[in-house]
Amino acid sequence: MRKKVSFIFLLIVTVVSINAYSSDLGSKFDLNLYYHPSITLDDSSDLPIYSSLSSTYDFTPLYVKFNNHQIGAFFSIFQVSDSLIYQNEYLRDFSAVGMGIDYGYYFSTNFFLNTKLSMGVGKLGQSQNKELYTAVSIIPSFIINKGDGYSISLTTGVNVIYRKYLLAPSVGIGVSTSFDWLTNYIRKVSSK
Amino acid sequence: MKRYFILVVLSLFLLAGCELLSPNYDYEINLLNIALDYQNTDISSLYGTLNDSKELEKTIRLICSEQEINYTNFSYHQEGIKHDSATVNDLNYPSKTNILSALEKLSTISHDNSINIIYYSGHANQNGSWLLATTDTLSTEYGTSFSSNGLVNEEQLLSVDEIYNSLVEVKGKVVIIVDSCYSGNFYKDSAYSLSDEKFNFIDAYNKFISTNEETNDIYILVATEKDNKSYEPSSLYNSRIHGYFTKALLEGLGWCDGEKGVLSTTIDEDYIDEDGIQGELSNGVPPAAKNNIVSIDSLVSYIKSNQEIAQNSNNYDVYHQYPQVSGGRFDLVLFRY
Repeated sequence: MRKKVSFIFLLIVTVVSINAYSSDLGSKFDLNLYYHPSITLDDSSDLPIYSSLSSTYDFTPLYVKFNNHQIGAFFSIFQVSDSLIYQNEYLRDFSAVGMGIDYGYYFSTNFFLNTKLSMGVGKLGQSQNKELYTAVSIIPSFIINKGDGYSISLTTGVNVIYRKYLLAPSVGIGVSTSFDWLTNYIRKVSSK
Repeated sequence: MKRYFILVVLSLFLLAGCELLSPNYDYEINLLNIALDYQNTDISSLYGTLNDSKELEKTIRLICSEQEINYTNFSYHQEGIKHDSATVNDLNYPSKTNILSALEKLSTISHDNSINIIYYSGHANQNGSWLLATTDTLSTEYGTSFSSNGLVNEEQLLSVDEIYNSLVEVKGKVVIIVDSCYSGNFYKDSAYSLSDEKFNFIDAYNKFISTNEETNDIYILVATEKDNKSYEPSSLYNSRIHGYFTKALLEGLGWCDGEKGVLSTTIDEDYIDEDGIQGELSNGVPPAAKNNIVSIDSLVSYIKSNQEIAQNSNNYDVYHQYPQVSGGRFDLVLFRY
């Protein structure tokens, strides 16, 4: 029953996503705000379910494109807070940094599927302790408007953060913009 | 069908956005409260420990009374120069035997919904063992705390392991609050996480893939690291002493000892109650509360920000103490407002 409730949560969660790309520089920045429903996989735990708000910032300093493929490596920062209290305990805030691999594939000029796999370390509330996490994201993008030096995409996504015995999945929609920053800059300078 | 779906979605938004999944939780608080001033022995005296202990007991008692939480207190105080047999044989004298009995008593009175707070204010040796009261009644001026080899009598030392072993049978949650030197020795590894000083990726990964369970029945909140001392201000310049750690802890819980701001040399008689305790509990939400909740983390956060001693040895501060807190994934709520 608990897992069923959690599954319904997944359907109503939204993600705010802002992404900026530079195809000339081969770098991009993603900002994602997730509302996380979470379930424990540990039956012995007293904490069956909790919800929390998290924000994720991913920076991919370099990616390469060949044919329809795109591969990059990224750094990630995220913070989870406002966990649900159960009885007299609650999960501590979790602030984490990590890094991972980013792979994307252009199925057509209008559809791009991006996947991310990362791992990192998070700090637990006021304690001096840290623990590991892994995260997987699958982010399909539908390019809805493309102009000279920019494009706008509608982005959906599934993001799953896994800490030991804790699964924090979320899905949602967002808007992604792509700018050819360097191209535009060169044009601006040369026109003077 | 569509209407039902919308209703389900709306109700789930409500559930996700507040604490409806967390029912009101009835609980009780048991306090085991230990403090010594060592004036009856040949160990250096402490002048803030009894103030700390008495005021903390009163603070928790008043909060429990306001919030209608069942509360039980066992106080063990050694105060003044007396070390005659009547004093030493008193059942509330903080000798090792009596404290072990008290820990045993805690296991008989506690329940699954109990929060058992153990507070200690006194000396400790370098492995964190509490230095309890002397039982020497023969020496004339002071009871001695040292054996013939110059070391502290073993029967006065209660080690961290002995304390943890005594807590095995205690039901509910346990909070160990220690204002003593080397109190960081109470820190225990978490099943999922590693402390900063031990952290390396291989060990963290091994914890990540291991099948060990996290047990969160014991929370610690201690004054300082395992290799550092805990301090109180000089009695020469202050009329009313508190340990730096406990003073900030008391303030965080809403206790006002009548000497607002920095420690001063004056006593305001208006703040001395009939029970002889100076100070009063402030109204409203205490300063350590975060989102109207006082938890272990919110308290340690308040203490770090407000203790009147440096946290680290930066800026040429010779004396410093860095409060420590349990390393597990969970935080414990003490009071809600």
